Amino acid sequence: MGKTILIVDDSDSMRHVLGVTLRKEGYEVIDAKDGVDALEKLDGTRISLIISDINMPNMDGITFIKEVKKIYAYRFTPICTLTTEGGRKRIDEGKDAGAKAWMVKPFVPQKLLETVSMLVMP
Amino acid sequence: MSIKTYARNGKCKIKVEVDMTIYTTADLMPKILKSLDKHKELVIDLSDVFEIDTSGIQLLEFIKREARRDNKVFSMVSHKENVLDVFHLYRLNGQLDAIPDNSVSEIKVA
Amino acid sequence: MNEEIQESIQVFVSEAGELLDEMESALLVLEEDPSHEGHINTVFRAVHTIKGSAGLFSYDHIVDFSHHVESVLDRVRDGQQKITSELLSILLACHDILENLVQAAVNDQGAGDEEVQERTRGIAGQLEQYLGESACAVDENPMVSHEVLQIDDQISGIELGSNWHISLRFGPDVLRNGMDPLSFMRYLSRLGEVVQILPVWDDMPGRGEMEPESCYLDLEIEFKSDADKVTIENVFQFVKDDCKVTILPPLTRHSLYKEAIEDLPGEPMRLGDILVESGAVTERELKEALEVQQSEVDQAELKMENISKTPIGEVLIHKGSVHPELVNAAVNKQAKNKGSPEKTIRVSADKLESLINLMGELVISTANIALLANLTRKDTLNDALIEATENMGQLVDGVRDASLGLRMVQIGETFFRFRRIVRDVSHKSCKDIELKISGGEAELDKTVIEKISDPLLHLVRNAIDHGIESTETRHKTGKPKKGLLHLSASHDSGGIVIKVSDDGCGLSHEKILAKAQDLGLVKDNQKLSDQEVYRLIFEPGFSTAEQVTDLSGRGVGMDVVRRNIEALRGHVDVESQPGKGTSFSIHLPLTLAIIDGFLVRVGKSFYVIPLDMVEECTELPEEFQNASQLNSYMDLRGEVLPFIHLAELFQEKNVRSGRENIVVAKFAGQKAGLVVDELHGEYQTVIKPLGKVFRQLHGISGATILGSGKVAMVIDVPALVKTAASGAFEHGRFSSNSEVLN
Repeated sequence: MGKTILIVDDSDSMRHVLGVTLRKEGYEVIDAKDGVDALEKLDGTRISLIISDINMPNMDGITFIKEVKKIYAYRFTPICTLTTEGGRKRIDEGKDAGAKAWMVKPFVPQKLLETVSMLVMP
Repeated sequence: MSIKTYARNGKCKIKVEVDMTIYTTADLMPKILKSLDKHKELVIDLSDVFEIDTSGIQLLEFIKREARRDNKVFSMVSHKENVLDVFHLYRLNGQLDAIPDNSVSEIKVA
Repeated sequence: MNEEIQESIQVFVSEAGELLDEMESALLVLEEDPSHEGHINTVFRAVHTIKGSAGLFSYDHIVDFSHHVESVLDRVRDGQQKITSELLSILLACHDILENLVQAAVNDQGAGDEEVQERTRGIAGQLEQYLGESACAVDENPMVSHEVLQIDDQISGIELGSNWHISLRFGPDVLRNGMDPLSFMRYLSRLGEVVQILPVWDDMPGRGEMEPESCYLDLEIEFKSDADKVTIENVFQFVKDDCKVTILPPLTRHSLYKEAIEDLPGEPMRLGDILVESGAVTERELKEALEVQQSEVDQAELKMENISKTPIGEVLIHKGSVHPELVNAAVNKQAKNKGSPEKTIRVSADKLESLINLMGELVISTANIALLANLTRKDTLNDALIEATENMGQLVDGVRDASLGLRMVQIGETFFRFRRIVRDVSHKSCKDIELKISGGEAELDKTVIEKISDPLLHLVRNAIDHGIESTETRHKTGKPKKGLLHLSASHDSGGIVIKVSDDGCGLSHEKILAKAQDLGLVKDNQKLSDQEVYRLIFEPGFSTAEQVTDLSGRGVGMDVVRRNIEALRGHVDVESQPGKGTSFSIHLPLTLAIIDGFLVRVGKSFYVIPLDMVEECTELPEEFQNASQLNSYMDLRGEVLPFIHLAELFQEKNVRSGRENIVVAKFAGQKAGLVVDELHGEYQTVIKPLGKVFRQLHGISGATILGSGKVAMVIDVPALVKTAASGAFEHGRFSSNSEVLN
């Protein structure tokens, strides 16, 4: 049974690249274009990892992470933030909100898969 | 509903029927401890457990320790590959009987 | 003697001089606080190096003597001999003898004159007492730090082979944060082989407190991999806030790390940096170790205890981040690098001098070219020329700053030299005096420093001799037994202020006044303020010391001090409070040669005002225009501003065209206005000293040649500001013309 990963990013191409890369590796992927959209999709489905951008319309990543932590079914779900170069402050904000992992954009697919494998139980 | 308990002659088998992860361990712990207190010998059957994580392993380790403290016999059985893998990673496979022990499976206790 | 040898000897002399300075200050530190054991290594290194170099030139007397000193020092380093104040005194004497011997050797005087030989024998005899039976065995590797060697066996309990040893102590929230150690271990197995994992649940509580969602796990992992330490550490990057990670490299790696340590460039580096560079320790480990080190110090401070910092190597070993063997290797490397603290080359002062002179000429010609370019402005082609000259001007500015920078030296070295003098002088006069030094990092032109050294010495001696009272008197007057002498340097409007302050008895208004009346400097009925009285001590022939001692009062009076300082375009000031102390402030320009000036016209002549001292320029208010009064006061935004008509002061012919301007100059917190006819803006000024005859001119500190070839006078702002503020001008006393430059 494949593990499910939720991708939250307002960039269509980012969601697409992440989706293709992860699906190829056997993960199931759900995607959302912002925090509000993502919260709607967290309907009780088992999610093994959430990868979320931080700068997004409607609901930004930090607020979204805080909301996820409030949902009982997802209180222990690992969350990984996506930040751009020099986003050290963002990473720390994410950590405070509950996202302990991070990835710095741009990254190569290999790097993405490595990071995911550190976070998702097989 | 998460566990089923079978008992006979002071020997008790607990069949865990949910995954043993951080989402379930807080719920499982008191149930398992309750059975442990009632019996002299405890077998935990993990054959229906598809997933186990560090929190699950930690709970089993805790039960084992409680059993030992009270001088009770404790063992575990499983045949799920996933669970075996994790036991192997933690170098705990020596403590696991791979074939489920069916000797106490006949009698069901509520 | 051929030239090459002569040159090598010069290098030896200056090297020996530096080493002896180092030796002296290390000894003085030890005298103050014998717990600074590290300084004994400095002393040892100095003696050892001098011995080695002296051997090259067959200066056998130096070799013999330093060998004795070295042997004693060796026993101190071995812990066989304690550092006592008696021993330190002998070592200081040894320092002096070495100084003498070096001097004698280069002068071809062998073991020096009778007196030196006598003293050498005496001290050598005293040294003998400190040598045990096994005298003179000298370790050829003086730099191995003993403190590090001692902790070698502390972690021998951990088995190290060809595997990495990784210890993970997870914090309670790791699992709740969605981070499972299992994932990290799985990932780790991609980098190599996990040979052994030992899960430890020692922290797991009993039934009442057990929370299955909290993590009580510690892991000890034996790991076989070719990956480097940082790569392994990165596996745990997401849990590092929640987990104590210790990664100990395999023993087989040690030779690699050692090589890496050896291969580092020969620059001075901190120990931690050496270990990080070589890969033996990661930055995270170093950061944590530094935090531990700091928190120890902080705690000790809270408890008002005085502890020395645990060496960083020791902290790292204790944390299990690195094997002691590697710390030793790094300490050795560090010691080796220390031999050349900064990459420097020796250049003869003459060459530097001629570079600075050429620089001055270059600045003048650049100004000349810029002027010519501007004169032919109408031609459009010349826009390009003007731009080119502006570019060149900027480059010349850069070269100027860089070449002047070559001569800049920290004043600290000069200050530190006084430590020995203060020590000796206070011993001799039986006073207990503490020397406080601050601002030693301020930089000054080397020629200025050389010339200021004597006046400073005089002030320091005076302070000890006449300023600070005897221990007995201090006790009686309720002052702390220990007298305080404070040498400080700080930057102030383009110059530097050096202060020599003491907490002694202060200057006596009455005594100075009486003496001045004796000398006829002051009329009997003249009323003078304290400040005016104090300034009298700078007058020639002035000395109130009731007894002339061996230490000061050697015929060099304060007037010489003042003259020397003024020759450097500086100023000296004195402040004093009876019973509380005296403070001399010396204001000096940073450099003598070239300054940024502000060019103005007064009558037909040009004058330069040092730009650092210019506060602002403004038009002279209506009511003062065309007044022929020499000095007066005006209201500058509610402030009383004394001002001087330069045209009157220098008796320039009246060729006034348009309105007069006022340049507000500031010095040592005082402001004064200088009335001029025309403002010409910033101007690079190469200061030429005035001929001897004109040196007494008040208000002028030098001259410069303008791009046009004309001469401009450099205004002595400090002098004018002071006199303007005190209003003490006599009409017609000052004059100037363009021929003072001979």
